[in-house]
Amino acid sequence: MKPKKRKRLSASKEVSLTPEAKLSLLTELVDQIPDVIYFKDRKGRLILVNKAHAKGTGLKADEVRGKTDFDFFPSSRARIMAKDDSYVFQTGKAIVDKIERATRVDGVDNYVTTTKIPRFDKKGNVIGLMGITRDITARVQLEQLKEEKEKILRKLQVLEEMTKMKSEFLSVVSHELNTPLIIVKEALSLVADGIAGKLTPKQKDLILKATSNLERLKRMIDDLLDMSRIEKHKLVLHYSLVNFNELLLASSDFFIKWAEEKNIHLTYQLPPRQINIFIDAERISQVISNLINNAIKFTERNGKIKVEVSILETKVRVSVIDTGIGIAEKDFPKLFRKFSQVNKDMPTRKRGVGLGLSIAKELIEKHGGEIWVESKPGQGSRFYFTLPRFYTEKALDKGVRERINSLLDKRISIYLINILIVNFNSFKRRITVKPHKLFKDLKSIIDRTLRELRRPEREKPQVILEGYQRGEWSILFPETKEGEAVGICDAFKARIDKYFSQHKVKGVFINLGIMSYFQKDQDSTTKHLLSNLHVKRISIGSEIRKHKRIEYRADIDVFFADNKRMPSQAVDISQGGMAFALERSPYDTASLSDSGLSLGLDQPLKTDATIDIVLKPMNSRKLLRIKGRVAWMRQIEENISGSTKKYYKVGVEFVKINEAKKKQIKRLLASLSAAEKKKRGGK
Amino acid sequence: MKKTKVLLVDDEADFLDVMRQRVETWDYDVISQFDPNKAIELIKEKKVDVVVVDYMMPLMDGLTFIRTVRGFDRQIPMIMFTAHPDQRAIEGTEKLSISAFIPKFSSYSDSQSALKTAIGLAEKKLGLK
Repeated sequence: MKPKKRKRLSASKEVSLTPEAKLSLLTELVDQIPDVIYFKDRKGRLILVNKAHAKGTGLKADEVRGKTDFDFFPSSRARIMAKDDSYVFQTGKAIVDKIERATRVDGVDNYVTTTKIPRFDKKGNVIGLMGITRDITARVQLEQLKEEKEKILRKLQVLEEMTKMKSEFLSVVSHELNTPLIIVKEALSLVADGIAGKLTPKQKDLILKATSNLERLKRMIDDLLDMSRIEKHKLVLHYSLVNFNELLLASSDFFIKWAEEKNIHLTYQLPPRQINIFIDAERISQVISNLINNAIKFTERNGKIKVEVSILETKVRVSVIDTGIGIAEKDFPKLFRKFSQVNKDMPTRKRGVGLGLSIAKELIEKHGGEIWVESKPGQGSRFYFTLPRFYTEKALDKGVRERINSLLDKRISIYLINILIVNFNSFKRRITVKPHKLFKDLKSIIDRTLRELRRPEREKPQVILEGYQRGEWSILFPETKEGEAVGICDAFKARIDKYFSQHKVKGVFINLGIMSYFQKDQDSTTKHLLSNLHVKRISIGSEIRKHKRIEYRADIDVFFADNKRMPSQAVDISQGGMAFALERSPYDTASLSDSGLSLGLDQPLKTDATIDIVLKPMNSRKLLRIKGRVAWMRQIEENISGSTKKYYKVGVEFVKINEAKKKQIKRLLASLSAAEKKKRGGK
Repeated sequence: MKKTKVLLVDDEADFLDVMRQRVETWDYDVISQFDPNKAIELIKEKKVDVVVVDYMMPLMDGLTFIRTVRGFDRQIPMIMFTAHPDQRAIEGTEKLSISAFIPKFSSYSDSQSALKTAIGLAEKKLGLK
């Protein structure tokens, strides 16, 4: 057969199909289409349906003939359909794409569009209709989801704006409130100081009353401001090196005098050994103030308050102990929450805004410390908090200090990297490299690293001060950005590490830490200036640091003095102590039930209580029994795979350890760190 | 002996007044000015030795003030009141040679003595003490 010419295809030219072929094509279309297609007569009875219709009703095409909607659908729905049919029959108009909704048995809504088109005879009378029904449930659901998403997004936006506004509102309000407050404070102070003329005793008394209430007001506003900052995650700590005893003594006179007004005897018990720790002095003072304030508030006349500082292995612990009215155990969780007022019947003049303790908790925890309370109604309260100690030190070399100060005076910010060999004398003896060579080598490493990494365009020279008799190098980097200083520090560490391993010097540890040093003159200006000094320390040593804590998850048994036993889980361990996890509150005295056995705690776990711990190490049968003293406690909330787990972590310091016990612990630690290294090496 | 002249610049008239009275008790000559532009003129005319300025003023913000002054005077000590210490983290303050940042509102440290110390230090630097 000749191929048809395709060049000129006019619209009028029909594709040549036999009637049978046409029918076959049309039938195929009607039956393959997923839409339901049907033909009805004038009485609404089905004449012809497609496969999709049959599928829907479950009946065969010929079984369906003659049936009406009332045979397939609930009468309420069928009535609506019949109404539509009548409309088409009577008006001769089509209904196109009408959306109908039907609820399925399982409650899910089905959406369809129906189209009904009238059929006419040659005279133009309506003899029936043909209809197409299309399921649009999926499409409708998608649109509904989109709408919901839009709604949620809009709500989120509004919420975000509101939160932002609330924070800004708080900031602005606090700021606005503070300004006139400052002016009033200053004006009163000028009058009180006699600058505006001599005062009569009565006048002075009134001025003092006004001033002290202004202080109250200011404290409340500050608390609100702090809270808004905390919520905005904008609370920034400004660390500096602080002699802790001095910090406490700075305000002690004030508090002792204030306590005296209620005839309360306030004493401080400070450790004889001076320690310097890296903290935000103002903020920690704030916490101490808050606790002493509360103690004075809630202790009756002629009571006693003691502020005690204990130096723990890796922390400093402050206790504020009073003989006041005490707190019920059920109120403990509320204490550190925002706006909580535990004693609502307290006279209003004694109350604040209720934010103090929650702010204290934030501040302490931000420092990496813990804060907790022990109390019984009528028996007084003991508030504790801890702060981590960063190890060290003796004073910086005088030469170094002078250089630092001269740079600071010029308001040049400095990075100080201190490389220090710990216990240099014993280190010298233990290593295989001769000390003289060690210095030369270390110095050349330092020089080389500086040459390579220090940017050449730097005009200001760095200062290197060597105290090599003590195994110490101090390198000052004036006007250096944090990134560069940290990079150089890391390079030092890595190269020194490499050096020692190259020379097969065994058992050397190299550690990066923050150094604390003692600076005598810390007036308020120096405090500002000190924030321009950043210190990083690299210590090289050859002993396992006493304070290196190793994670150690194991089952342990905790025994109390009265031989009551409590199973628990160890968290970490070091030569000096360990921490374990309690599933329930340490204050909970309800009995634990373990396979029928009831193990009760007669008394809640107390700070400084002595307990016996039995460790069941994983790799040995021998049980390790150690005596310890409870040093600190903390509530922890962890998010593990979506669910929040609450538990208490308790810190214990080992006591009364003889040599044999020490060896046992050392062995356990060694095996644990070896296992740890292996794990890490394997990664 | 001539008293050191301290210029106080702040938009709060009352604050300016009480601060002036306070600083005068430290034995300084105090000029208080709430118009930053007039303050700049005074500095130009070399009528003051030390400047104390607020960080936030509607007519001209503290940093702009300091930048303007530094444009023609790199020596005169400038002390700035801040809302709270974080403001120190403003970029470029190092180049502006600000002698000290005094917190304006602080319960737990004394703005007064900080200001006194700062002015004293500035004097020392100028060789006036």
